[in-house]
Amino acid sequence: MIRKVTAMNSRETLMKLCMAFGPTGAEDKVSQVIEEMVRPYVDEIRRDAMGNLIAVKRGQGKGKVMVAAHMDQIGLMVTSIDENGFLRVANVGGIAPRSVLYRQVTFENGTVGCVGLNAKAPSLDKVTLEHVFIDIGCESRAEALEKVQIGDTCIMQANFLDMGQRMSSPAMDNRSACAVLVEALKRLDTPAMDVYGVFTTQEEVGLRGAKTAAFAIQPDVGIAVDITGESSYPEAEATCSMKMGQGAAVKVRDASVFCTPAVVRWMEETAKEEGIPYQREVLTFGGTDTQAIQLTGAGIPAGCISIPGRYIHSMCETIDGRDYEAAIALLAALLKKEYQH
Amino acid sequence: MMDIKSEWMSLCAMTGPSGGEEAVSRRVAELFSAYSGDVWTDGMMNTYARIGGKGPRVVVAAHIDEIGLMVNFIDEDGYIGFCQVGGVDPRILPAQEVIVHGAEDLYGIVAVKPPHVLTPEEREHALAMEDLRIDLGLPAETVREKVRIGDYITFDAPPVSLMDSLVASKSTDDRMGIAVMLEAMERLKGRPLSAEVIMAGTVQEEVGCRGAMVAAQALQPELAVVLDVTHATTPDAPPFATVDLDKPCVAIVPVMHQGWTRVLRETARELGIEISVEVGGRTSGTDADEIQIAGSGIPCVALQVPVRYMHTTVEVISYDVIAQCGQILAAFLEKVTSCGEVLL
Repeated sequence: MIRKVTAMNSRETLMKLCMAFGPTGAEDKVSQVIEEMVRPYVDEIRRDAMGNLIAVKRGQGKGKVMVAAHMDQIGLMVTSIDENGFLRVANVGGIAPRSVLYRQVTFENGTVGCVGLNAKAPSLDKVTLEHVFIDIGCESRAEALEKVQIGDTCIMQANFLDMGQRMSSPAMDNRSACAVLVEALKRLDTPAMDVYGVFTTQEEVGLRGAKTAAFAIQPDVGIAVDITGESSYPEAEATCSMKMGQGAAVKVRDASVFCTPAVVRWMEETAKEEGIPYQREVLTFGGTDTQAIQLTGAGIPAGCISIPGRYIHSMCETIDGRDYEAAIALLAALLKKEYQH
Repeated sequence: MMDIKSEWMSLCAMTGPSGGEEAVSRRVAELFSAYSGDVWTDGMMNTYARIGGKGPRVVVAAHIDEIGLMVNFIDEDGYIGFCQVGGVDPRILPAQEVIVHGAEDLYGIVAVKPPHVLTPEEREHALAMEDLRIDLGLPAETVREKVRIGDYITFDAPPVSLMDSLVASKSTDDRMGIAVMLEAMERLKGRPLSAEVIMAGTVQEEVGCRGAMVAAQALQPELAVVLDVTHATTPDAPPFATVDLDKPCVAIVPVMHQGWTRVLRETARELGIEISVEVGGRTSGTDADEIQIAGSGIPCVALQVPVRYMHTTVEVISYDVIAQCGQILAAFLEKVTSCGEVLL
């Protein structure tokens, strides 16, 4: 197949997005990277007050579909700096303290540091963020303040591990879904509905960006794209039926939402028609932008395409390329069609 | 005249776990149609009936969903693992009869070890939900053919009439609210009602008042009356946490509007109906928690019916109290306009 020489393939898109900076509340940088990627493929791009990036591709007047992929990632925010220049931090989004220990971190201005642990901290299972600090190589508060301010948020050092079929990155949640949306937007010719591709902010702290975006757009149907759990690694909970490599997951429910049954059927039928591998998803924890869309105004039919992943909210969130490609194919196929309930 | 009690008991027999209320919602619409020419259902399956005039808009809300379970995996032998839909107490599950809503409705039981083979430790503790399985008595391949991840599971527990006017059912919480609405509409039939009243059977209350949130945003009423259950006295419950089974109850919590709550209590007194009061310091655990802060804010009151054994398959309620609440609701709705000058 001949492609524009400048066009990235889907894996390059994913890698580039995983390397971008964008913790909750500071999504500007990743938002700019995405804007550059999608600009040639859409009719209009705008940002709202929450920092959501909204890319619109006009359709054939069959209504509006909103697709939400959150671009924020979990991180650590500086709460105080001690006299020796060590930073104390609070979590931004759900971070398990033991998963950040002895990791490298990056701030938006390029400052880097290491996550250290108080010498007399309790055992690992009892460690909280109060026992943790960031060492940015300074000897005094004054020196540290030249690099970092109270309220700055850092991310775990950006990284992308290409293991062949599978890929790992601390930002896979949710840049893999952003990449799915970018790739699906690239494959749109003349969609039936107006497509509002929304790269949302602040999902990790309560689905906040998607809420205002859905309120403003008032779509006829909403689709969230996100990552979910899976259970094919050692001692994984048998109570989770999703398996890596078995296709895109069509969400039935998570802790935040019961997907609109008609949307679930629409997704399953489309996957079957197009021969796209998929699995049904029941996740007993976690929330997604699906809820924010569904509960907007008088209620909006909403569903979610998920990518099964391992070690979510750790520094090595891992997904399978086959599931990633299946999610792109499913989203692209849905966006070609009209939603009828 | 509709036999409201028996219609309500049939409604309680239907299955409608949170997010899967479609059938119940349709039936509620049919029941509402006996009293209103303006009945509709929204995209989340909330069902509405409009009665009354062009006065202030009042929404009366009761949720029609029930707690249940959902298939989240099928093991090699065809036993079904499940998670909860709403707050299900795992202690009530062993040996429970259930229906798995697969390609067809399949009867099953929650598998349980006989006491003879329990270890002493196992005897001391209730099982966790993730350790329980449902046995359909079918070969594993048949289970996999007929049951999918995400299928609902409900309790196979038809409602039972007890002595006096007591009824035990799996979905008393909160379909009793629909009976209260029907009782009120029966009393209001043919009488002038100036308030624009919208009766709302809401969905997904048990998982976070999601239907009511959307209903309130769409309807933007000037006042909301929430009908829900509260805890009736049982032999083992502390008296300060419960109220009498045989009296309607009014909730006094910060979520509820003080002025309108006063009017509701006065209404009961004028009718000569003795009520209990339930007092709380935070949210109410009812649809009012979301309705109160929808849009630019909506004053709420709560009229409650006490229930024993809430969130079990035998939620016991007094139908006499349901009927009394219908009487109070009707009189309150008639009063809304005359109080309006002070409160609206």
